[in-house]
Amino acid sequence: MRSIYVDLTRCLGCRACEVACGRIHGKSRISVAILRDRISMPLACRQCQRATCAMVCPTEALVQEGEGITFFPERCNGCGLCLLACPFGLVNLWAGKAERCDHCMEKSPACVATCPSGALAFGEEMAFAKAARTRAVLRASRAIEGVRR
Amino acid sequence: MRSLFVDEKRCIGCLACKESCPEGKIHIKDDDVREIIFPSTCGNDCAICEEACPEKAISLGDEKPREPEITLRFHLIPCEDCLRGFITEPMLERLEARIPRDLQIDSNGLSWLRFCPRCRRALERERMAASLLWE
Repeated sequence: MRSIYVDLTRCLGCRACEVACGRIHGKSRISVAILRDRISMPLACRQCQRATCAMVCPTEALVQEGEGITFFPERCNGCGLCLLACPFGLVNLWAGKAERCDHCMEKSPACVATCPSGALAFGEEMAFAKAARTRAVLRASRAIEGVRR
Repeated sequence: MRSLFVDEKRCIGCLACKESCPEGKIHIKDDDVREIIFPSTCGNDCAICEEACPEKAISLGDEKPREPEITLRFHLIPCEDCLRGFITEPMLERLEARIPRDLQIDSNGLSWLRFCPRCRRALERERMAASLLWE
């Protein structure tokens, strides 16, 4: 499943992703919060493979199609059931329509293109996990090298 | 001028009619109780609210209305964490009926439905942070 993934060890908490997302969609669909003065954490739609938002939608505006979720704004009546059905609270209502991250409709997502620290990536989960692990190992080996010298 | 009728037994207290009315004639006030105020007559020649209602609770007709306004009240169930009312009972029932029981985040089944969206975001961040913080 192609999605937006976050490497929390890289996020600076600069909120550039929020600005970029807001510029494209009017209102940002990604939000960054700082936890206990230490960890900055961006959060956006998880693109669930069994999406509760789509299960409860009365007008089939949110539809599960294969592994992804498709949104038909003209069918949305703004009832707000999807935002109450999201386990992570990541659907919003804006101007009478449901709003959630659709990774800029499969084009290169604006938040990923903007992120200055490379904390956000768009692609397959396995590729992202592999890259994050490689970086973690390189970081650890650099630290060990430093101790040896 | 057409009259607007609302079936109290069908209305689940969602936002569809309020959000879809092009004239903003339907008002919702949220406190411990959600108050939905409908005008009983509408000069607009549309049936958008009637079509938007997921429960078919609204009907438009020519009969004379009894009251100038129709007010429906729903108790808002408080969030388990912040205690602010956020969901009506019929809406929660509808969600519980539609979401399979096995879609749980932790061992507490569908209890996550009883947290408001804002607290759900905070809890998700806590879960993610647990992998980075040693406390």
